Amino acid sequence: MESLSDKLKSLGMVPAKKVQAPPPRRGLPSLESLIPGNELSNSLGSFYLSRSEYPLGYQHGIVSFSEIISTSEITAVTRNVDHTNINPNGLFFLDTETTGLSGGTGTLAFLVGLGYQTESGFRVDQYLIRDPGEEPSMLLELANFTERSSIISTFNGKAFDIPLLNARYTINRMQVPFGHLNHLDLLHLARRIWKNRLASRSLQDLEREILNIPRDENEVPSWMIPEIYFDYLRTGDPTQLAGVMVHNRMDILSLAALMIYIADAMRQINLDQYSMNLTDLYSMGVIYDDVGMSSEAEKLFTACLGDNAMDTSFLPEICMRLGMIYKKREDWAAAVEVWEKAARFNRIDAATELAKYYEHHAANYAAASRWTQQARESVANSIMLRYKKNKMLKELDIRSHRLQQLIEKMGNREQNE
Amino acid sequence: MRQISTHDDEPVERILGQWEHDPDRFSNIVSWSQTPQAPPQFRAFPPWLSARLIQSLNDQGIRSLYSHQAEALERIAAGCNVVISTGTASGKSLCYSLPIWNRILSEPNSSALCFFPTKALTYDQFNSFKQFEVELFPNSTSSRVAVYDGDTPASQRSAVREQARILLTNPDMLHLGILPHHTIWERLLRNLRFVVIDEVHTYRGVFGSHIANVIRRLNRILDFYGAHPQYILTSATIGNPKELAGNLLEAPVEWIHADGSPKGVKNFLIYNPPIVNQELGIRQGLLDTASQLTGDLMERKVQTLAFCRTRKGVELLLRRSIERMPGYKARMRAYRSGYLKAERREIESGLKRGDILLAAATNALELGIDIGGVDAAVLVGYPGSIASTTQRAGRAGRKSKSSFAVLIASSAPLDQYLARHPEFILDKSPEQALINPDNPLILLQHLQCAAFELPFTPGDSFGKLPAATLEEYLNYLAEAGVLQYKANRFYWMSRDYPANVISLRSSNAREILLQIADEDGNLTTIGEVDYQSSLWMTHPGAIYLQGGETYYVENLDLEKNIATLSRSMADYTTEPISNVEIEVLQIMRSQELPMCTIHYGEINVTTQVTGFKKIKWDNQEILDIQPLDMPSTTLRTFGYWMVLNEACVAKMREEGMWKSDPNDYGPQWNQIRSAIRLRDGFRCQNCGKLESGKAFHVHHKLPFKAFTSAVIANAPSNLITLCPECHMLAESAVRIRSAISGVRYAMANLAPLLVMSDSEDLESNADGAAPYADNQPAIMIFDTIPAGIGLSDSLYNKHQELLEKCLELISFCSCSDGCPSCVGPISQDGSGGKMEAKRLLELLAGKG
Repeated sequence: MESLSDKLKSLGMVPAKKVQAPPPRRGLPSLESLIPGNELSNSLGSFYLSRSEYPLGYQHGIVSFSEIISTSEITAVTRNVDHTNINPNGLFFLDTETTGLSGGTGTLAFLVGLGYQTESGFRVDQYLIRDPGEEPSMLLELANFTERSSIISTFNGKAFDIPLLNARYTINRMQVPFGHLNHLDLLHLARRIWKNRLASRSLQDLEREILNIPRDENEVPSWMIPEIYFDYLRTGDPTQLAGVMVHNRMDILSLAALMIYIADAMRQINLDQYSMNLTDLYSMGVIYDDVGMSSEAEKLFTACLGDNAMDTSFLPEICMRLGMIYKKREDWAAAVEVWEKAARFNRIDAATELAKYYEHHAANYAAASRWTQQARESVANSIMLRYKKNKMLKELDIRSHRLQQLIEKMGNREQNE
Repeated sequence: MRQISTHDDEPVERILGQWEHDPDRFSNIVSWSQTPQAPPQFRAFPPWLSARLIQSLNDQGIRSLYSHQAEALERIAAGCNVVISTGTASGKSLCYSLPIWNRILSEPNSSALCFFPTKALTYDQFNSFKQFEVELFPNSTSSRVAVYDGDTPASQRSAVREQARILLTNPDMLHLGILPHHTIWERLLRNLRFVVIDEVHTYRGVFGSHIANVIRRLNRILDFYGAHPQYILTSATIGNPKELAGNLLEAPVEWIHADGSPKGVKNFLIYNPPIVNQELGIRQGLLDTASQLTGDLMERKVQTLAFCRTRKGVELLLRRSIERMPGYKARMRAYRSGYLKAERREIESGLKRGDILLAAATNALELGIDIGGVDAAVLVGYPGSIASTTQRAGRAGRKSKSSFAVLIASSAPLDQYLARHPEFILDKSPEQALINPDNPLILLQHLQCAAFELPFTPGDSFGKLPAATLEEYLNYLAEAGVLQYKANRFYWMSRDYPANVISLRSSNAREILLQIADEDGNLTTIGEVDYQSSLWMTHPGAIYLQGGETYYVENLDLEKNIATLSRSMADYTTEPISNVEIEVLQIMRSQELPMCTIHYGEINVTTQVTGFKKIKWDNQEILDIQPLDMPSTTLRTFGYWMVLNEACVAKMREEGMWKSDPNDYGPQWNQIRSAIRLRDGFRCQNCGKLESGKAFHVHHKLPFKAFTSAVIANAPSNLITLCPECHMLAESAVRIRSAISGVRYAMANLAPLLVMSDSEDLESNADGAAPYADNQPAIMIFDTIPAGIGLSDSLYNKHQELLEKCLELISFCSCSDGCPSCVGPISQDGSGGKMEAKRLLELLAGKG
C-alpha cells in the first residue's frame, strides 16, 4: 500500500526535511557524568535536579554576593506590590529555557532555573525534565517551592516565563502557584535606568556593559537552545545540554547580580567598586522622584550635581527636579540656587519659577520683572509649536504687565511717603 | 399576468406597471415570476423563556415569535444542535440570541462563542446583543458581550478574556488566536454552552474543509475542559443545509426551514439584454443595461441595491448611473470592501433612513448586514451561485410590502441558461455545499495545530477521522520531526507556531508576488497569484490585467517566487497553450450506459505550458505564437469522466457529425509535401530552423477538416513548412472544434451550478483519443484542489442531469453556430460545432 508520505508528496506537498536520524552511538555519556545532579521524585513522578552552590562573597563580575539581597529599594519603586508580603528571605530568581519563543500552549519549559540565598551563600537549583512526561512532577516541585516564597524576580518574566508556566499548569490540570508572589521584573526597571545610555538592554548586554562579565565559553547561544533539547530527546545524548545548563545558570546569577547592583546604587553603596556611571545614578533619581520619594531622589541628584564628571546635558533637568523638591519643602534659598543654575541653560521653566518666587515670596518686583523678561526672550527664541509659543508669550505678557503696575504702585507709594 | 398587491400605489407597483407597458423593456423580460404574499405565522413565547427576557423583547416591540423561531427554541431547549435555513430577514438571529441570554440569566457564568464570516456582520450582531444587554442588565458595568478579532486593541484583550460571556469572533481568529492559547480562555471555554456559526453556507469547498477541522480542534479543547456546548447554525437557502451542518459538526443536527415570517408579493424578473449581433451572439452590454434600469428606478424613487460581480463593476455602474442621472448624484453610492469602516456605516444608515436611493455593491452587502430592506434588487450578472442570487434578491422586501428583484443576464452560458430556467432560482435550490475535512493536505495542517494545542495520546480521536488514519498522520509527523513520541504521547517539539503558516482560505501556501518597478528601480508589489496559476497567467511575455491596468510580464522567477511586470499599452492579450496529460490512478466507480461509460476515480493531471498566443484585442486575430519552456505541474485529484463507446462514434460518423478522426490528406499528399518543403527551402517558416535528417512537417493554415475537398485544402497557398515544435503550436492554436469540445465547454460551464462550487474549483478536458481511456474519445471534469473536495464524486452522481442541462442550453441558444453562451465562441476558421455538440448530447442523454 502507498505510504502517507508518498501520497502527500504526490499531492504536491513539499516534503518536510526529514530529521537526520543521528548515527547510533555506542557509549553515550550519561546525564550524571556531564551535569552533576540527581533524580528527584514526588507523587507525580520524577525529574532531574542539578544544584550549584556559591559561597558568601562569591564574585560575579563586579558584584559580590555577600549579605542579604536588599529588595526594599526596588519594591518601593515598583507598582502593584503587596507590601505586606515582601520578606527578603522569601526572594527567588527564576529563568526558564523553552522549546520556542512564540508562546502558546505548544511551547514547553523544559528547564526551570531557581536562584535563592541560603545561610552559606547563593544557590541555583535547575529543574530539568528528561522527557515531557516528567513535566507534572517538575511543576509540582516548583509549586511547592513557590509556596515558601514571597518575591519572584525575573527578566521579562511578566510577559514570557510566567504566562508560559501558567499555561503548563493549566494543561496539566494543576493549580497555578504564582498568585501570591510579588513580581519584580527587572526588564522594566533596566529599561528606565539605561534608556539614556544603552541602545539595547537585554540581560546579555547588561552583563557585558554594566556587570562586566565575560560569557562562559561552554555556554550556548539562546537561539540554539530549542534544537539542542529536541536533539537530546531524539538521541538521548546530553553532551550539548550541558551548555544549556551553563547558559541558564549564568542568567540566574546575572539576574541576582543585577538586582544587587541596582539596589546598591539606589542607596549609594559600593559606588566606587562599580565605578558608577553618573547618568545611571541620575536615572535612578528620576525613578525615585517619579514615585514621590523626594529625599531619596534628592540624595542621588545632589551626588550627581556635586560631581564634575556629570554629563552637563542632564544638569538643567537635575536642577529643575531638585528645585521642585526644595520648593515643596519651602527651602527657597536652595531652590533659587538651582533654578538660577538651570536658568543659565535658558530653561524657560526655571526663569518662570524664579519670577513667581520673586513676586509672591520675596516681593521683589524688579527681580521678578527681570526673570519674566528673560523667560519671554527664551520663549521667543525657542523652537516650539506656534500656538503654544503664543499662549506662553501671552501669559508672560500678563505677568509682565501686572509686575509693571506693582512696580509703579510701589514707586508712587515711595514718592508719597 | 401578475398579481397586483393591495398597495398598488407603492413605487414598486408603479415601476412594474411602467415596464409592463413599455415594449423596449417588456420584450427583454424573459421571465417574470411572483411569490405570493404570506401572512406571518405567530407563536407564543415558550413558557421557559425568562420573564425579564420577554419584557425586553416587548420593549423592543416584539410580542410573539414566528413559527420557525419557536420551533428552533423548542429544539434547542431539547438539547439538539440545529441549523436554521429560513429566508433573508426572517429573524434568524433571535433563534440563537434568546437561548443564550436565557441561559445567562439562569446561569450567570455560562458563555457562548459566535462566529461570523465577516467583520461587518460581527459588529452588526454585536449591536443587537448589546441592546439586549443594556435592557437586561441596566446597572451593570462589566461587559458581557465582546468582539474579539484582529481589530480588538491589545489593551482590551485581557478585559475581554476576563469578562465576556458572549464572544463574537471569526473562524480565523479562533484558529490563530484562541485555540493555540486556549489556557488563557479557560474561563470562557469551561463554561461554554452554545457555539453559534452564522451563515454556514459560506463554509464550503476548501474554506469549509478548513472550518470543519477548526471545529474538530475546538471540540478537542472543549473536551479537555469538560464542556459540551450545543451548536446553533444558520444558513442561506442551499440544497443541503442539514448535510453541510452535519458534515461540519460531525454530529446530528436538526433542520429548521419552515419560514413563519411575513412575506410581501415578491417579483423576480430575468432581463436578457437584447442581441445586437445575431451571428456572434453578442448582446447589449451589462452595465449599459443596468444603468438604464437603475435610471428608471430612481425616477420612480424606488430604493435599489445593485449587485455587481466585481469591485470594478461597482465603480463603473456608479459612474454610468451618475452620467445618466446627474441630478441624483447625491443619492447614489458605491459599497464594497476597500472602503473605510466609517464610510460603510454611513452608507448603511443612509440606506436605512432612505436618503440613499441607489447603492451599487459587491457581495460585501450580501451577507446579513442590517440595512432594513430595500424596494428592489438589481443583480448585474448571475452572481455565480443560486444561494447568492437568492440572498441578494432577498435584500429587497420589507415585511409585507411588495418588492422585486431583477437579474440581468450576461452572455455567459450560465446566465443564458438561467434566463430560460428561472425555476432554478425560484424553486428548491439544487446546489450542494460540499466539504472534505479529510483532504490529506488540509488535515495534515490542522493535525499539527491540534498537536500544538494539546498532545495526542494513542487512541485519541479527531472528529470522525478513523483512529488508524489519525495514527498514520501522527507517525508521519513524528518522522518529520515536529512531533516526538514520549511517555505515551505525541508532543509538539518544534519552535514553530503552526497556526501562523496556515491560511484557512487555501490548501497550498506557495504564492508568487507580482511586482512592478518604477523609474528608480524600486519594486512595488501589486498582487499575488498562486504558483500553479502563475505558470499560465504570468509567464514571461504574458499580458496581465489587474484593476483596469494592463501589465506586461518581463520575467517570472520561480526560485524567488517573483514575477516582474511593467505597465503596458499593448493592444493584444495573451492566451497560454498547454499540454495536459491525464493518467488514471484508480477507478472507484463505473457505470455502463448505452452510448458511453462513466467513471469516477483518482487521477494525475500533468500540465505544461508550452507556448502562448498573442491575440489582438479588437478582432481576436492571432498575431503571433511563441514557444515557452515552463516547468510542468502535477495535480493529484479526483475526476469524473465519460468515455464514448463505439456505437456512439459510429452513429455520429454515420450522420456526418464526427470530426475527430485522423485526417486522410489524399493520395497525392507525399508529393505535395515534398514540393512545399522544397518551395520553403527546407526551413521552418516560423522559427527559421533548417531541416536536418528528419523531414519537417507541412501544415494546413486553415485546418484540413474545415474543407470539404482535399484538393482545395491542399492548395499550396494553404500549406507551409514547419518544424515539429512550431507545428505542434500551430496545430493546437487552430484545432478545430469538434463535437466533444463543444460538449466539454457546455459541461464545464454548467457543472459548477450543480455542485455549488466556484468555477475555478473544477477543470475539464476533452480528447478525441484519450490515452487514459484506451484512445477512445473522452470528456473529463476534475477537482482542481489537490486530493479534491468531492465535486467530481457529486458530478458523477448527477451525470444524466448535467447532460440534460447542457442539451437544453445548446438547443435553446439563439446563435447560429456556436457562441460564448453555449459551445464557445466561433473560432477563426469559422467552425462553431454547435450542431455536432447538440447531436452528441442527444445521443448521450438518450434523447434521440
